[in-house]
Amino acid sequence: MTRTSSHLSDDLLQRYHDGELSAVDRVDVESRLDGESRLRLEALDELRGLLRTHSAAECSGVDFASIIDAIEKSPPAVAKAPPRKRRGLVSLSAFSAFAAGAFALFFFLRSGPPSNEAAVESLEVSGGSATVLRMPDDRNPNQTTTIIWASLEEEPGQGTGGTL
Amino acid sequence: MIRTPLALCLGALCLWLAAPAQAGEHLVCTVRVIQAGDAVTAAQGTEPVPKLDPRIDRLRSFLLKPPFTAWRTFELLDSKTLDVVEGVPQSFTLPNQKVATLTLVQHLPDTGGKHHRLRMQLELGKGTPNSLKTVFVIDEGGLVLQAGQPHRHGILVLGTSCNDGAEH
Repeated sequence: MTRTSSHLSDDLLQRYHDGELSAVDRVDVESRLDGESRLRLEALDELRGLLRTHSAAECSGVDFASIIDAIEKSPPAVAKAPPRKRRGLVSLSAFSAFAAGAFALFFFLRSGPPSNEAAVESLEVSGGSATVLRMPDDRNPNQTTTIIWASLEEEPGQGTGGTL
Repeated sequence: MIRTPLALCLGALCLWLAAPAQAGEHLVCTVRVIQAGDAVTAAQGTEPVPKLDPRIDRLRSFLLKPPFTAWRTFELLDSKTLDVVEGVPQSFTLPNQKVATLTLVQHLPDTGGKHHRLRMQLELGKGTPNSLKTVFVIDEGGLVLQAGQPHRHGILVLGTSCNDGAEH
């Protein structure tokens, strides 16, 4: 918002107060100063004084020279961020390892040891007899190990032997 | 910068360890051929401590239970490692001169978060008067036992396990 005085604008008066005007413009402004403009200039002087006082109070306990000197002598150790591409590969590696481990664990847990229980679909024998036996499985009480028992007669020329 | 390839390698390793073999890949099957001998007579009972070949100590829990308690010695005669591809039979000769043929019929996919299942076919003495042919389905890595073939005053026990490469 620009508030205009009778003769001088706020902007022009502010620039005059801050010393930003050329010599010709300064003479022109000074020739046009009236009572109200002078009051506004006094208010600007007062505001500047307050700011300087406040800034001085804030900075009075700070040793800027020491701070700057310390920064120049030992810059803080800041880890260099890896390039974006490398960060992506690291993430991909971690994800791949996790996924592979989870996949292997999933298969290991859901499969368990193989069963020795066979489903005999056909059994043909000639020259003897055959049957299917099942013995308890030590690893799994609910399963059995299958034995396909065949008492085949010996071929001529073979040694003697007993059969079940 | 080195973390990314390291993490990716770690991830790939975990996936490789976790994922069972997929359909179409080859499997490694191990067949242990064991001789069970020194049959226990009625007079002896089952008192004597069985002698187990230390190379098959991991099968102890199976071989010291019935019906194998009828024998007192267990010796590993042979251990066959077969690269098995779906539909391609793999054969080897047993100590009793019978030919054993193992075939991966089908590699069943993962269902319900459990192990892959394998449909296998085992043939013993194929083409001879005394033969066995069986098809069974078992977990990948599971052990199936076949026993009863007479040999050297005892029987043969075959322990078969197939997986994607790691021995079980």
